[in-house]
Amino acid sequence: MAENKHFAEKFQFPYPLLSDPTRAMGVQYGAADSTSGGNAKRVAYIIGPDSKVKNVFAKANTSTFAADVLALL
Amino acid sequence: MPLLNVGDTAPDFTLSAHDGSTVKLSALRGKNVILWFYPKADTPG
Repeated sequence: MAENKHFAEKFQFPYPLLSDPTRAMGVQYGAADSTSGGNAKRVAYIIGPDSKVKNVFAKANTSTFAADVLALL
Repeated sequence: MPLLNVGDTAPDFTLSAHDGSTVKLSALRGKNVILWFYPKADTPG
């Protein structure tokens, strides 16, 4: 959590950086294989105003992701 | 777990944010939400 705070403040992220220390949420979203280990995958979702999944990015491209998302909103 | 599919209801979650606040997905209903997962810093992936 402290690391995230530092990271977010360093780059002045205008959005919250969340921690999923138990990995439970990551597993539910298919971003983690299990709660016991392994690293999160760079997957991403757009969730619509109705709380339903609007878009799935199985491997978010770090260099084009912002533009990819903006094009879909 | 596999990825969610388009049209699935996004599972609700409540997680702590870097600024000490708490983010609950269901509280953001009515807005578009972008979730971007990333591995912990300095780990492979």
